[in-house]
Amino acid sequence: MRVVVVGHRGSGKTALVAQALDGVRALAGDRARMSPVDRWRLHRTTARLAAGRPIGATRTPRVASLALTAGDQASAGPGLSVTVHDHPGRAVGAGPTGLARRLETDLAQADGIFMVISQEDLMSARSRRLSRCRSLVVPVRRALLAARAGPAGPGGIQSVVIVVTRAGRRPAVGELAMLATPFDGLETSASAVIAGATVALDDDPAPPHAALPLLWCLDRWVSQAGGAVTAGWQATTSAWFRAAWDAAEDTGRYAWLPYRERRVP
Amino acid sequence: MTQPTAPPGPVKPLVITMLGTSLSGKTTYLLTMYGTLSLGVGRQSLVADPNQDYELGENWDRLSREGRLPPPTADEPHEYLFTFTHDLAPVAELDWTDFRGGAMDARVPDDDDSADTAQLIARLSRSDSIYLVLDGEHLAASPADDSLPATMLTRRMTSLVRHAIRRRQAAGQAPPSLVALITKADLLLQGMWEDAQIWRTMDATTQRVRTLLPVLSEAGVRALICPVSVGHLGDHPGGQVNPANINPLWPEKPVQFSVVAHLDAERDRRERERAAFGTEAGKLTVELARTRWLERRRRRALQTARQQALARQRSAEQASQACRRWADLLRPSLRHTPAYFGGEPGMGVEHG
Repeated sequence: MRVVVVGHRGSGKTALVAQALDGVRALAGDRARMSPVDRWRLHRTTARLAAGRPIGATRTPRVASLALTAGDQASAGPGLSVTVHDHPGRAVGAGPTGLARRLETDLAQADGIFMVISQEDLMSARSRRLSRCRSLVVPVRRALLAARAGPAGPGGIQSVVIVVTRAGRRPAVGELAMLATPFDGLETSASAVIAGATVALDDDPAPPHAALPLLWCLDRWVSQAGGAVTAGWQATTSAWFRAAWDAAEDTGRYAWLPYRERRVP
Repeated sequence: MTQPTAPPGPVKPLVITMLGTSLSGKTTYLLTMYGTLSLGVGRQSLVADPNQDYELGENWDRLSREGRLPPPTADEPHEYLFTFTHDLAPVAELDWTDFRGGAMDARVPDDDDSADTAQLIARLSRSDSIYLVLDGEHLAASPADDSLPATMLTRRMTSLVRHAIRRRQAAGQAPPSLVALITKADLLLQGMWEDAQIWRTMDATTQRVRTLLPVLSEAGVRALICPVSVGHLGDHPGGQVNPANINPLWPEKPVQFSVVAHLDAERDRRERERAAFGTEAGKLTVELARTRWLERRRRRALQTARQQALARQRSAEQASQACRRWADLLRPSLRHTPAYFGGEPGMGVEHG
């Protein structure tokens, strides 16, 4: 499964990726494997976050991979590969640069997308707020259209999660819905065919629900993939997702699901 | 209402051209419209390729965040290609060109400035939708002034549009849909707070526009009179406005109207095609019945031709139905807008 993270500079993408991967590793235990380089990067970032130190800007696109093995649960079948593509903020709203093109390419091939935006941006003056949201919505919508028009027909991107970072305190459900109003157009138009959610993350260096966006995408992907992915994985990822959803309580605002699949998560 | 399951078939790109005097607000409208629709309005949106999105997005940001109005369009027209989408389905391609204001008012080929005028006139004949841009500032400043046609060049607009309609009719095409785009509508409604007063003013303005542009009421013409505004900008010395006052009014309506009118016209065309192929298939059936069994070669040719006519009839019918479904899906967004068909209120079809 390929997840692409898109957001402005300083919105907290790298921290989100680290916290999300760390959260999945904690749930998966021995069944989660990472390369030494990815492990070292993850450790460095989470240590910095825990110490309250800045983690520095991402300058080039980075890919972190997580291999989930069946472990002793034979029913889970073959392993799963999760890759998270963290793009620098400069790629958003940029001109025809290599970074912007790479982001477009990655988005078109994604199974899930995180749109990361800080609460500060969502509470800024109307024009700035809409401009920040517009520059995130445009490439994502283009990717969704391209994925649906692709040779394989409707498919590709199955989930989009709007992650509101730097939420100073846990916003109530209604507050988060109001904050995310600029994304209503995308949500309304996309919810006919794909699933999404809006999740708020506060300043906690290791928020208990940080893995929720990644587990949401993973659960959706597993339930749609079929074939090689067996029912064993569906039960596992659903259980992980539910655990994270429960931990999120009211900070995971709501889920928008395709009309045909409306269900309470 | 659910989204049509079948694609609308080969709907040709919708060619949109704006006619208006210099500084009437054509480019500002384009930016506002794109800035709003690219973020999404309800289930609809506009998608451009990354380079065009960058160019338009930068200019929209300059306007909405820094309050800098776009400079007048240079001599060279700017071309844009957009995709209008509903949910995540492309409904129509929009082929949009932004001409400078002076392009409308030069003689061809006498004036030195007429290179883009010839281009504009040629394009009008190819246009499926023409936006007649009227500066709301002039309408507000002179509520009963006879000089308005000269100021806003409405006679020139009428003449150019009639010429385009004639040329399209000669080529067997439907007239273009027309949008009387009243820009800077905030100036028309300045100081009005009561709904009744606002509606009275808008009704009066609509009637004035219909008098100024009689082509809007011609037979077979789908027309919309649409006030639009970037916000309550007031005076803007040196092209600088207060970004806090930017709050667009109805920038999406003209595009929604053009798409619906285009789908309606396309549906009519496909209906005619369907009828023609049906007639042809009927004639071939009669001829086949008259042909003797011994004329095997002729019978085979007639059967093939009949099957082809029936297949084309089915294809035209499917395309017509898809256009109807899309149009019916989009039409509710045009409620409460002054739309006319052949001078009569409405769009010539019932709401779906």
